[in-house]
Amino acid sequence: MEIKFADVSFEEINYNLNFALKPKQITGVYGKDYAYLIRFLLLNIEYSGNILVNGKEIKEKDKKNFCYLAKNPYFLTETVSDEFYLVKKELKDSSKKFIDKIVSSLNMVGLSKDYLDRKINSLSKSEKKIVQIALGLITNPELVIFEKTLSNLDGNNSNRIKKLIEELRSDYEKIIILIDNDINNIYELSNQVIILQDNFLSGSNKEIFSNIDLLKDNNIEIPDIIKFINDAKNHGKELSFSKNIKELGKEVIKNVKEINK
Amino acid sequence: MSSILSINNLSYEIDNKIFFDNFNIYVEDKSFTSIIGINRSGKTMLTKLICAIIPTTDKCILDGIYLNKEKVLKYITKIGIATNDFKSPFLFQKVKDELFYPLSNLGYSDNKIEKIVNKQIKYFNMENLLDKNTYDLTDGEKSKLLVVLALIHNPKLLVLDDIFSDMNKEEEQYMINKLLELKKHGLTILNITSKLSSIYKSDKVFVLNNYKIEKETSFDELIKDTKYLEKLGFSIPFEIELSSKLASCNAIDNISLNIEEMGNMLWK
Repeated sequence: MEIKFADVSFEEINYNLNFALKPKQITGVYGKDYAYLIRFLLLNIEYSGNILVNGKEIKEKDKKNFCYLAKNPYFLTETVSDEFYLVKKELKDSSKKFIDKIVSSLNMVGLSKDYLDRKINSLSKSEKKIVQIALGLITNPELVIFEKTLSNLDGNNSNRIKKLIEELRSDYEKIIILIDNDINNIYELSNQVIILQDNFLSGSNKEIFSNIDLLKDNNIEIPDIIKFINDAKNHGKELSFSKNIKELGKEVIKNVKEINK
Repeated sequence: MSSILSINNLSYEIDNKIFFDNFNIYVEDKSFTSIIGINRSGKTMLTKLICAIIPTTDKCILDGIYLNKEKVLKYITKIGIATNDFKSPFLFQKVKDELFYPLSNLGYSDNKIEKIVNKQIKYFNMENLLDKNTYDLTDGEKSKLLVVLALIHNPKLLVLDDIFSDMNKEEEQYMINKLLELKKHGLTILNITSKLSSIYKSDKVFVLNNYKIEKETSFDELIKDTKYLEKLGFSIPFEIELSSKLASCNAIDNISLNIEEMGNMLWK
């Protein structure tokens, strides 16, 4: 599946959206206007321009292939199992082997079958988010939208969900939209970046983040690693665009040793 | 040093499961105190106990007042609480109405209310938010409004429950500096959080783990042991993680909280 936005706009915003979403790609979305993107894709607002799914204008039935994970997961029943069967009912899924679908969904997020018996109120914040993802994956959607799923999590749990998002991209070939208000997460995880702030900006991770002036001019926070790399540059040191601290640290130490030689 | 808040021998259980067992903590008057804990360490429950949302009897003492059924009103007017725990924390559509409501609830005259609200708006530089709808605010703006609301009745103690988690770095540092300014005028700030970048300027740090205070320390001491913090499950702020790695390889002399300072040490 490929989704293409061509000059998409709405009366409340004064810019046009132009970009394409492809499988095996994480598109990071940052900026206060991010909700419009969700509303466009879920056909909640009348838009001008074209949203094309595999070349044809988007229709209600295309949404079956989308999974939208809202910021705060909410549950209507008492156990994880009941939640799955509620989804079954909503989907009017009459398959006898629904349990197989549940198990493969749980597999994708790395949860064991034991979780089905868990009471919702015994789950931690991050477990709730992971169960929310598993519930969303039951239809085997091609597009998964994470709305600030990474916010409000401590280090271990955030790393666990980051790993899961990356696996959905690489192993399950999903199209992923990752909305986050921590610019560091956008930098670390996304291949493509969309900014919906005062203007619309889009580009590859490198196109957006290697251009400090572009970030500054558009009031976009600068990721910590980029700040550091830029500071080194001002001292006459060219560092490569590492995505994590370990790589960056190694490179810095190598460079410092060269200076000291 | 006198304490503004003390909790003595607090025990709390639900359905025979013990959460807090003989728990003690003292928060110094006019201090910026942080309690750090990961998800499920007991942060939100502790907040609820301190703020009388979960009732207890004579275990919490705030500014000399014992928290119990009779004195609960007197007790809670001395506290301002800002929490991210509620899904829809606001009552009104307009930010302005939200700010006026708590004071009219206290029976203040319209004149007085207007004066107080205007002062707060000016202090926190939020004129641009006044006519907005509360549901149109960004997460960072919502958190800011929650703090301002918590302070509007001029409490002695401000309790923050993970309030910085939805703020970006800039918003977070702005708010902390504003609060430290208020500290000079007598406010005590109790920052209960999992976000380590919000505790740099704390006078004292408590580590909450599994419903117990595991450590009572200073920020400078705490960051010397990043392994300990990582093991507990905290995410380590970029500056601390990188500079402690570099310091351990002798590339720089000490842990730095500032990227430019780090650069100056490295590329001199």
